[in-house]
Amino acid sequence: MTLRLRNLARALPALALGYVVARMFAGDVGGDGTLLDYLAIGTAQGAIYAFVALGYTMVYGVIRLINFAHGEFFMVGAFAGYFVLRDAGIEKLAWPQPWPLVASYAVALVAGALAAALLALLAEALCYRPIRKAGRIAALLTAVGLSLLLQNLARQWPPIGPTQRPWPAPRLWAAAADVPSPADGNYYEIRTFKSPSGESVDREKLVVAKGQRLTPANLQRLEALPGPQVFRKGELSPALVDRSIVLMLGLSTLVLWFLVQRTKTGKAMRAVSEDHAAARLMGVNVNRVIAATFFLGAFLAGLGGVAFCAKYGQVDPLSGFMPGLKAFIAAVVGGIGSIPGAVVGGLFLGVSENLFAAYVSTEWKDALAFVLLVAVLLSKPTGLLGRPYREKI
Amino acid sequence: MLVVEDLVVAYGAVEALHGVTLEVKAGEIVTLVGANGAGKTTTLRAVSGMVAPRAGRILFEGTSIGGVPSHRLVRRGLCHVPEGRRIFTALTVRENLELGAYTVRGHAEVATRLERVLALFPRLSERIAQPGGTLSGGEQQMLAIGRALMVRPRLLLLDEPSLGLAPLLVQEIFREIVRINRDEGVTILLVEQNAHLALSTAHRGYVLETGEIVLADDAKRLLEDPQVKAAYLGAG
Amino acid sequence: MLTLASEFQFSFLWLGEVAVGVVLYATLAASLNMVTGFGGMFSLGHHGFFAVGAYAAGWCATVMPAVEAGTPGALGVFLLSAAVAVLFAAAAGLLVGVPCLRLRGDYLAIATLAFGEIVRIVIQNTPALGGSLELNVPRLLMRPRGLEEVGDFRALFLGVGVVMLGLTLVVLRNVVRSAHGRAVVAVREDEIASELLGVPVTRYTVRAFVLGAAFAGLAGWFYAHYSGSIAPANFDMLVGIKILLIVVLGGLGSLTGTVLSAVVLVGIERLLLAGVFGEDAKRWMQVEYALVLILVMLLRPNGILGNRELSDFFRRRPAKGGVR
Repeated sequence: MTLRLRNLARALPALALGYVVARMFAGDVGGDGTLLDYLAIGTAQGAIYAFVALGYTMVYGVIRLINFAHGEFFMVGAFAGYFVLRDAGIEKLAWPQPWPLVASYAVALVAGALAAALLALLAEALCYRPIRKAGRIAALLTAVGLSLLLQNLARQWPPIGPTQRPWPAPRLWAAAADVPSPADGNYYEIRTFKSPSGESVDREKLVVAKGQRLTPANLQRLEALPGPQVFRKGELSPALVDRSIVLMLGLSTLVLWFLVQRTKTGKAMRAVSEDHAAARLMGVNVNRVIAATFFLGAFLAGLGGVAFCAKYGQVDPLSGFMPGLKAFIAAVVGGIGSIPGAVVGGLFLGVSENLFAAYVSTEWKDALAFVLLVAVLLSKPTGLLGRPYREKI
Repeated sequence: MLVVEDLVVAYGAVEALHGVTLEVKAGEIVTLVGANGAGKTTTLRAVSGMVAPRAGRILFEGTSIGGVPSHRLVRRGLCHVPEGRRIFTALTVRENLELGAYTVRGHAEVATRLERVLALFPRLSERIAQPGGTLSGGEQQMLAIGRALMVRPRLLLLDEPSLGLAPLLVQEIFREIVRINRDEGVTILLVEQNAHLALSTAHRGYVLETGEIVLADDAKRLLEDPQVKAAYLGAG
Repeated sequence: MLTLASEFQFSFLWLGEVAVGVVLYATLAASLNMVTGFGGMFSLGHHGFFAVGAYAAGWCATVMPAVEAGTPGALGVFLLSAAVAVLFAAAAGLLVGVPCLRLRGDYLAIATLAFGEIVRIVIQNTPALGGSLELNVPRLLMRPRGLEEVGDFRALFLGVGVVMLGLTLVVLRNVVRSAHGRAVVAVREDEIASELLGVPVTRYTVRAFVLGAAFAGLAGWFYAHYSGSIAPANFDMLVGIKILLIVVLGGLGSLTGTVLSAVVLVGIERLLLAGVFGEDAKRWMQVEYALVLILVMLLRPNGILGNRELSDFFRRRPAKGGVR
């Protein structure tokens, strides 16, 4: 009987999640403040936490390190995505809409993930590997230091800087000749100016406002330029973003599950997480496995970074801090070291935070995560899905 | 096959081995016996690259392997079954064995090796899908040895295979050790607390005392040696 | 030879400020060393107790009837607020310590980190404590009549701070040398063994934790009265990290090392802030700070002095450890 109850306790949230996701994909979530709405938003936010929590949990699994800099990998990934979206011009591809947008987001996500992953490789080789033998406190403080370093480097580095930036709006490019007359929206072009210090700066300039007509002189000038010359500013519908995030998490989790359970490197990862020395005696290059773990974890964090900043419409050097901390809590709540635990913990935290904010209090929302953390640590330190932990000597 | 010359190993300021010299020839079972803390395990750990020697030479098949990391030595055919078995408890028996073949490329090859090991330890095939942690002590020891055999080692280092096992199981494990040596042609360097059992299994033996070799002879003659009898075999 | 940037004007006033900073952080670090160094309990939330002490003292000073600065009544309030700060911080230490100390290693670090954050969020959402804005703490020691007297008021606080630090160090040293201290160190070395030897592990670790929290609260009291206004931003995680860095750099378990590293770290920080190493160095200060943290960990993970005391270096025989 108790066994059945436990199964029920597991099945119910899964069913509820399935129901919410199904309604999201059916397009029933309208942003009108219903319970379903908050559940859907919470699921999407939780999915982002899950992306980041996966990296925490994997790294903790193999080297028992709380990688505080993981939130900064997330931030660096977000910025890489930001620069791709802003400057790469993939949206200019002469494909029918929305494919140029889809392509630009795909490239931005991959670029963000790769930037974060490469940074993680570098950090592992330069900081974490030399410190591994010096004890846990030293390793944790190194991670804290790395987190501070990356945050502040980003603030000081001119292309990023300390200010918050709006996330680039999707640009729907068109040939000047195709602009209807009168125009169906504001159309802009990119003009290059010389700044007083002599650098060239790209600025958006309105060519024709909604309901106006394009002047013949402008049309002539623009048509002489190559490719699509003018664009409208689109916007990502929140429902679409949420759906994409949930879909991405589903796919990533499947791929990750396959990698960890079915591939040789995955098995080596699980072996290393149990016993470094024994894995080494089986011919496993432990350093390489650890590097691979960092790579994978940060790759997911990079994806999460781009998704998070696209969802909330802004990015700055501190973007990684709070989501990083929350995701870390999610990892602990789910059971640090456990991959399904990270996903469950992330979703749980995202949903409960949003429900709390909606029905109890927005001011105390941030405290909820920490209280939840303490509660889980005290009642079941290994988390919802964690294995009982043994202190290693 | 394995030559160790004047091996010195230290943990921090404490020297554990003060110049150990020994040799293992191809096809032999050689055993290291000695009291707790004599340096038996440290010798194995140095040979398999788990600790770096401070001085001395270790030659495996004629080339020096001092300071080569363990995972490279596995590729060269040297495999170490550590003390306490150290199987992966969260991985299934099959996954444990497959990890033994980590250095092997090709599914077919892994499958044949798996079949062979399972033929050697039929008990493991009954437990193939179970997590390693659910096995009994004897089964875990079989798994640890089987996992090492997946490497197809030319030299197998065995550390205390009898540790914590019931006497009947110990006999079974040692029968397997002899079989592996005889039928599979694996050279074995065996460290064992139970000196009588070790010396009756091995061809030759070394007696280690506080980090130094004090006796080296045929295993049979060591069994008869009055000094060894007095100190390690518990008979006058 | 350092080329000093032109705008830096050395003054005793500045030196006094730096000295106050050193004393404050040395006290904080010594109190954390009680927890982390002697007790082996890794706390990332020590700034939480600092905040509790500061806000308890600040709140106490604001709710008391107004008193003229410099009068005996003001001195009474000043001392009363110290007692309140220590009590509240110790109570918080007990509240956090009893349940959390069942946790080990990383789990404890995380729980204390959560505590530090919760304290900050609670303050931010409590209007009586100023919310996310500043809480002004009335001046009690001396009325600042004009700029020329500012020097005096800081000198006074330096005196108070030195007494506070001295008290902290003496109490901690005595505690460490007492049977209690030995028990804590035994716990750090080997929990199971000390349990078998009859050392009540949990009781001693909780005591070490509460004592550390109490002294952090005392430092909070000092800070609240010295700075005259406190805000949640003064007590963020960076402060906790800074304290921990001082402890680690000074060596876990070494009291003199802690003071030495507080001098070094706070000194360097203030020199950078004052622009002594130039504007660029000042602008990149946070980056440099993080780099120092990483480099210290990579090069001397056991601190400058290890776990030895400064005096050990003047003895003839090689020292084994400062705590015996």
